[in-house]
Amino acid sequence: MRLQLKEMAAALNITPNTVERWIRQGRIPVRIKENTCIFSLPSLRKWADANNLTYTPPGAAVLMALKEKAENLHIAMARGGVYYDIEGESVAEVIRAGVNCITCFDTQGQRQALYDSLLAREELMSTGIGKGVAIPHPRTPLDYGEIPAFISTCFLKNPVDYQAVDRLPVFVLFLLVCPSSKSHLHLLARLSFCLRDEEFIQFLNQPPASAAFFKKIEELDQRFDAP
Amino acid sequence: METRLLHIFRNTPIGREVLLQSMYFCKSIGVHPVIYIPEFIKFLMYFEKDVVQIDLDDSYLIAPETASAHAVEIVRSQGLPEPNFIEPKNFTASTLPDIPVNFDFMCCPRTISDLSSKIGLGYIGPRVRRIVHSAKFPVLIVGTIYKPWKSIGVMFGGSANAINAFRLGVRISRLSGLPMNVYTQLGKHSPDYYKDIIQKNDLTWDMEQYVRNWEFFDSGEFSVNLYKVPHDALVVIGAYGHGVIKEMLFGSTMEKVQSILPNNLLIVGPKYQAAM
Amino acid sequence: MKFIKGLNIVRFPSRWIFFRFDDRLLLISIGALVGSCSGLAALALNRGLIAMFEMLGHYRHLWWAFIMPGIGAALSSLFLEKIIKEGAGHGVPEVLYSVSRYGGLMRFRSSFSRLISSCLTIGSGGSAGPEAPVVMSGAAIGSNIAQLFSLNDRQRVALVGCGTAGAVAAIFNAPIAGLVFTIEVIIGEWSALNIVPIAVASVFGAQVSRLLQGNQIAFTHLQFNIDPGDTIACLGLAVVTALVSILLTRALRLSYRGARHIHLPIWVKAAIGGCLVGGIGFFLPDVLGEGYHSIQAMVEGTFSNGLLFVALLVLAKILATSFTLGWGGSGGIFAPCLVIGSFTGLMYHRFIEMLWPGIAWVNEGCFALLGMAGLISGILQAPLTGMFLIVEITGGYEVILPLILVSAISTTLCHSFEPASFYMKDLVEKGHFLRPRTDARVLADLSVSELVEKDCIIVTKEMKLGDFVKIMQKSHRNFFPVEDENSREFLGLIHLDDIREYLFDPLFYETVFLEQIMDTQVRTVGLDDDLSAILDRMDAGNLFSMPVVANNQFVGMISKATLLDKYRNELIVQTNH
Repeated sequence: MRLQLKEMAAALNITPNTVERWIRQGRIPVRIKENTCIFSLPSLRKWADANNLTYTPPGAAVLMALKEKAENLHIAMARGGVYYDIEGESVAEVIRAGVNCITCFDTQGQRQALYDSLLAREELMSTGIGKGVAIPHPRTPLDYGEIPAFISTCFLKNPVDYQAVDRLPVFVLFLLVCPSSKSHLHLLARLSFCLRDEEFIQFLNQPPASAAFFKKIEELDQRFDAP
Repeated sequence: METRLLHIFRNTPIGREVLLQSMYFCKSIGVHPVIYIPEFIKFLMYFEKDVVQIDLDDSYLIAPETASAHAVEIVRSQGLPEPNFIEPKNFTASTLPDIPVNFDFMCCPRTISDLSSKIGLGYIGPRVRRIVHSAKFPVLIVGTIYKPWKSIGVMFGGSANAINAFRLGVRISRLSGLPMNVYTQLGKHSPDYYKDIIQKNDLTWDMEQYVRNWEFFDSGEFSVNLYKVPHDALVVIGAYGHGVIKEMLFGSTMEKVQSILPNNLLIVGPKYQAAM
Repeated sequence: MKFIKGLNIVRFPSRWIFFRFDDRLLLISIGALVGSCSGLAALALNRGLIAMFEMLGHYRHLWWAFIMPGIGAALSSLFLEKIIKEGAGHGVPEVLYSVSRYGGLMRFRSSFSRLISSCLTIGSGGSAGPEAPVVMSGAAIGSNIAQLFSLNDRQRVALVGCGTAGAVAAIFNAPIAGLVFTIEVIIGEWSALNIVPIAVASVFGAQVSRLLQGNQIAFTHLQFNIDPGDTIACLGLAVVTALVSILLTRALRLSYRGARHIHLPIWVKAAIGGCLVGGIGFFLPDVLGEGYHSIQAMVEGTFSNGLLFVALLVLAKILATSFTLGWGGSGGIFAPCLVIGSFTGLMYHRFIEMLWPGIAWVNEGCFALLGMAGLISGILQAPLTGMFLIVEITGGYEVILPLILVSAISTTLCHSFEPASFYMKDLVEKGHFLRPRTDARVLADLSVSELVEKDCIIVTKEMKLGDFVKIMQKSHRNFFPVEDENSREFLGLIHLDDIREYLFDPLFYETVFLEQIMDTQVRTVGLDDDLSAILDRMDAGNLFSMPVVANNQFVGMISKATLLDKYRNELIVQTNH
C-alpha cells in the first residue's frame, strides 16, 4: 500500500517528523520514497498493535468527525419524536405518559428504568426551567448501548403545576436522554440557546405541527453554529 | 514554519560576494539565514544515509576576529534582520564538529574544499557534489560576483527530479514575484509529451499562472541553445534524477548546464524533499 | 536499460520482497560479507606489523634507535592529519559516538586510515595495540557497506557491530570474544536481532584468519593445576589489577591533558612522545610495540627477572603507553593492557612467593593470564570480554574459576573509582553516550518539533479582554500566546490561571487590553534545544509547559503531559523488536 507521509502520520496519530525518523531508524515496517510511504497493511497493523499505536485508515477519521459533528439538536429531536396531547394531572403522571410514548425503546424494562431515573431527578429538584417549559432528564446518564442521545418533545393536553422556578404551569416537556454527560451538556446548551429566544417560546405555545417544529429547530441549530 | 538557509562564511572578498548573493536569495523569498563561521578546517554533515566530511580551503579560517562583524554587516546591508550563527554542539573528534543538516537551503560556491582560484565554469568541487547528492535541501551555487537576478529559469527534462525543480521554481517565483521561464530540450519526444507530464502532476495551473514562457529547443545542440537563457536568471535544475549509473552512461543535463551557464544555480538533488 | 535496472536491484536488497518485512536473513548474509572484509583488514594490519618488525629489527640495538618510535609517531600523525584529514582519536570512542548519535554512520576514509597510521606507530616501536584501529576499520567497513546497500539505522548499527566482531575475531582468532566485545562495549544491547548477524560475522572473521594464517592460538596452551589456595590468592591479584587499571587510566588522561597544553604542531608532539617512548624502550625493550612476545614468555614461565624489575616494567609500560597514545601516536589500548596485565600478574606471583615461600603456587604463567583478564576488565569495565578473550587466546578452560573472580572484582573496584570506562569517559562527559533503551537515548531521539502542540489560539496585544473571553470559549487550552499584529513577534503568554479572577467581571471586558495582563517574563525554548535540557529547565522553574519560539515567532507549546505520552510511545517502539 502507498500513502503520503502526512496521511501516514495522521493514520497513526503521530507527527510526520516522527514517522520519518522511525523509518530512518528502521523501527517501523515502512519504507519511503519521495514522501510516499510504502508498506504492507497487515504487517503495519501488527506492528501498530505491538507498539501501543492504532492504525486508522485515512478517510475513517473524516467519517468519524462527520458523525460527531452531525450530533446537533434537530437530529436528536427527530430521533426522539414529537408527541401531542399528553395526558396527566401531576408531574409523575405526565412523565409516565411521556415515557410510554417513546418509540426508541424495545422493552418495558428500559422504560421503567428511565421513568424511575427521571422521577428521582425531579425529587432532587424540579426540572421546570420557567416560561412553561420543563426538561426532564435522568439523574445520571443512562447508557442503553445502541440507542444514541435523543430528545422527545411532549406537548401536554393541560398545563401542569411543575414547581417550576417561576411557578408557571408547564405545557411542554423536552425529555432529554443521553448516553454520556458530554453529549448531555452538548444538547442542553443548544436547547437552552433555543429557549432563551422569546419568539420560540411563543411558537411553542400553539403546539406546531411536527414538520414546522423541526424546520424551526434546524434553523435555530444553524444560528447556534454560526460564528 | 519559517525556512532557513545555511551559509558557510568565508571572510575574504570572494566570501563577501558569495554572502551578498546568498542574502539576496534570502531576502527575495523570505528565508532566514543561518551562518557558520568555521573554527576548524574541517567539519562533518550527517545526512540521512551518508556522512560527508567537508575539508575547507584554508581561506575559510582567515581573520576570525572580524568574521562575524563582517557577516552581520553584509547581512544588514541587504536589509535582513540579524542572522543566527551556528555554534557546533556535537564533535565527532575534538577538532571535527558536526554541523546540523535540518535546513531548507544551503549556499555554496562552486567549490569549498579546493583553492578558490580553481573556481570556474564546468567545475563543481567533489564535496559540493556530495552535498547535492545527499541533502534533502536544494543547494544554491553562486558565482564569484554578486549579481541580482531578474527572472527564474527552470530546466525541465521530464524526470521526477525535474518535477521537483519545477515546483521549487514556482515557489520561488511566487515568493519573489519574479517571472519564470521553462526550458526544455526536445529529444525524441514532442512538446505534448512534456505537457502531458505537467498535467499528470497537477501542475497545469501553476504553468499557466507563473510561467511567462515555455521554450522548447527543438533543433540544435543543447549546449548551444543554452545561450537563450538570460544572463540575469537564477537557474533551477534537478541533478542526478536518473541515478548515478545512467548519468555516467548518457551524460547529465546538470553537468552541461553548469559547464556552460555562468548563472547562479539552484540544484535540486535526488534526496530533495519539499518543505512540508 | 535492463542492465541498469539489474544494478539497482542489487544495490537495494532491502527492497527484495524476500527481505522486505523481515530483514534477519538479509542482515545475516551482509553480516557475513562484512565480517570477512573486516577480518581481511585485521589480517592486513597484522601482516604489516610483522613486516615492519622484521625490517626495523636490525637497527634496534643501535644507539639512535630511540628516535625510531618518534619518527613513526610523527609520520602516523602527519598521515592522519594532513593526508587523510581525520580528526585523530583512538577509534573506539568514535565508533561509540557514531553508533550513539548517528545510527552508525561513518566515513569511508576511516575504514583504512587507522590501519596505516597505527602500523607506522606500532611497527616503529610505539607502545600501543592494533585492536582499536582494527575495530574502527571494521566498524567503518560495516557502516559503508550498509550505506552502499542503503540500509536503515538499525540495520546499519548491526552491521557496524558485525564489522567490529569480525575484526576482533580475526585478529585474536577468537570468535566468542569478538561477539562479546561487540555486544558489551559497542552495541550495549543484548537482543537476538543483533546477536545473530554479529555472531555470524565473527565466525566469518575468524574463518578468514584461519584460512590465511592457520588455526593458531595466540598463546600456547599450557596445563595449570589450580588449587583452592590459588583461587583465594586471586582475590589479592584482582585488587592489584584494579589499582593498576586505575593508574593506567589516570596516567593516560594526564598525558592527554599535558599534551593539549603544549602548543606545538601535532606531529612534533607525536615525535617528542615517540622519542620518549624510544628512550624508555632503549633500556627496557619489553615495553616497545604491541608486546605479544613478552606475554608469550611470561605465560610460558620463561620470564626470569625478579620482583623489582617486573614492577619497574609495569610502570615503564604504563608510561610508554601514555606517551605514545596521549601525545599523538595512533593505536589502541587493548594490547598494552594485556602486556601490563601479564606484568602485573607476574609481579603479584613474585610477591606472594616471597611472602609465603613454602607454599607450592601454581605456575607464574597462570597468574600472568589472570592479570591480563583483570586489566582488560578493569580498563574496559567489560568483565565478559576479559573472561572470554583470555579463555580463547590461551585455548584453556582450566583457569575459568579464578578468571571469573578476578574479572568481576577488578571491574567492580574500577567502577567505583572511575564510573565510566576509558572508552566511554569523554562521551559520558559530553552527554553523547546513549545506550539503547535508556532515558538519554529516548530523549535524544525525540525532537522538539515532534512534541510541539500547535493548536494554541494566538491573540494580539491590542485585543480587549471581552473579545478574549469569546475566543477563550473556543479553545481547549490554558495558554494563549500574545504576538505583535504586524511583526508577528512573540511578546508574552497569557495563562488562564493568572487571570481567572478577572474573567467574570464584565467591568474589565472593555477596559483591559491583553497587553496589560500578559506575562512577558516567560521562559521559552527553541526548536533545536535538547529535550533533557528543556526538562531540566521545566523542573527548575516548576513549569508544566513552555512556549516554543523560533526567531522571535511563536511556534507552539511543549508540555510535560504530551512529552510523557510520546516518551512512552517512543520507549515502547524502541524496546519492542
